Amino acid sequence: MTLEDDLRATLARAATHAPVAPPGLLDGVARRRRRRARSRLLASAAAVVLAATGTVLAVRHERPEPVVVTPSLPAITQEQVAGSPPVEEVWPGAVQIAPASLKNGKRLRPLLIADDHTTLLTTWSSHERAGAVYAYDQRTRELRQVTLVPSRKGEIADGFVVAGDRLVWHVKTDTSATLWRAPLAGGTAERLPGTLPHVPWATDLVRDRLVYSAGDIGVFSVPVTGGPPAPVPGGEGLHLLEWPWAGDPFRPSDGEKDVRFRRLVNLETGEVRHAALTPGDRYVVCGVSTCSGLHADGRPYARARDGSGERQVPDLPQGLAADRFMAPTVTGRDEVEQYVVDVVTGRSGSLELNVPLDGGERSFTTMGVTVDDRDMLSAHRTGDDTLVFIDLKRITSGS
Amino acid sequence: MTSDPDFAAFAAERADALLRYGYVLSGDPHDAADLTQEALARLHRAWPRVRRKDDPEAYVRVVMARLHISVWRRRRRESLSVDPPDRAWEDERPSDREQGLWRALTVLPRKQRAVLVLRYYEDLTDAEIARVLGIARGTVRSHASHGLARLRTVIGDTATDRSLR
Repeated sequence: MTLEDDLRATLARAATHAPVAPPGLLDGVARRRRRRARSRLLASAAAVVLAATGTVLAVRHERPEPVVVTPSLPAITQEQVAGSPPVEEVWPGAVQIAPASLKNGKRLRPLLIADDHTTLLTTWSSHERAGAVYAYDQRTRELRQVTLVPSRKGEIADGFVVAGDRLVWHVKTDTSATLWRAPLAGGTAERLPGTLPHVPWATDLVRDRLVYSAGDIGVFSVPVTGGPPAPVPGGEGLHLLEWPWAGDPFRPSDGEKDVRFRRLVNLETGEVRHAALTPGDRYVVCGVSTCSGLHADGRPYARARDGSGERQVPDLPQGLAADRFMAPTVTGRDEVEQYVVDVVTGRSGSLELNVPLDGGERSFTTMGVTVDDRDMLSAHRTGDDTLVFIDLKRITSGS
Repeated sequence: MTSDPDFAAFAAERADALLRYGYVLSGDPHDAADLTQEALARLHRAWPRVRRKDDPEAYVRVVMARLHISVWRRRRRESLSVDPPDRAWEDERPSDREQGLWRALTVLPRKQRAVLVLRYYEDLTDAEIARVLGIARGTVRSHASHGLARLRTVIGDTATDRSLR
């Protein structure tokens, strides 16, 4: 290897360690632009007129029938969303707030919602390496250590799920993974028998088995107590969205016209669902029952997979969490705020991130919501150093 | 940004790739975010023209390279989170030599580093690099050779240090 070859390899690998774009990055761009173009933006916003009639659109492939797309629901606008009350007031019972750091200053990261009053958090030593798992009880306000997460350099602990009174997760290398578990009440982590010859993704607990995606190889399952994995019949080449639904794996190279999870397969019944398409749409991401995207005329929308119940939404979502939630950021005069919007009910709540526009050197995170968020959303309230957890399943099952 | 959906979509789609480029150019995640944000803001202003005439991606990469070597001082107007990426790293274990090289790159003057990044990360020819940075082709060659020589020295020094311990 010459120095030049080494340099090539070094730069390529270093690039993979770059930060990922936080949504705030693009807000900043808009804000810089807005200073110069405020009047023009206002003019163009006022000029948006919505057609309220149904439109018959010819849809190619799969479906012989044209799909009638009816904009049957009123648009959700930024103006409606801005100034919404805090999420804990809008969805009481579905929101939990936990500390974002330990007394010694170590930062905590949201892991999962264990039950209606307990959230799990983790410290991490570097990048994806979890250090220890903590449980925070809303009622007692007690933070206790659940277990230490053993991992070596280069290994990543991921796929944490609650299985009965235990926490189960996997530790993965570049090519394989091992299963681990620890009692939720607190105790030592133990390694479960067997090695998975995969790098699991989108782990879900289904009865007494863990199901997971293995790259674009397919969907596999393994006993939650460890053992050999088995392919899930019909899941070859698919990526798990939410059990039992799996679709074609995401390929970034497919471009803006590609529809993510356009085809979904039910791995229990074999049922296949295709999403309705509108010609000219871009950035379409579908979930189990809804899709979101951008019409050719620039209107971002959310609607059912069959094209019905469409409504305009305040921003282009990268898919809807749990099929109905998005989290647009709204720039006000002095601060940026991020809101959680339920596109089904039109309700919205503020995450109370209170990000000042002239924030100086202080850093903040906004939340990036994708179609892969199925159970919960979480965000860091930098100001009061807390983590807010939103239990999406509690909201969707309660309405 | 909703008034410019094409730009918003471009920015959303390419932001991660641009951050990677910004990161290898600058060697620093904060600077990468600043470079990307400033370059996207400039692209936004020029969007109608760039979209009509040029390739937006090429445009924004040229802006980033030039910003990086210019006297532009990073203005932290927006303070962005550069928390660890929320996704698995494909490979977390660079060799000692790669780690050494990555560190060695930090000692290079900006222009030398930019030339090496454009050559070995972006795979541009010296003529293309000259156009991107707005400098003569001979200057590109001299920056490249000085940069590589410096890296050799630093890597060599590191090896010596280690053998003495």
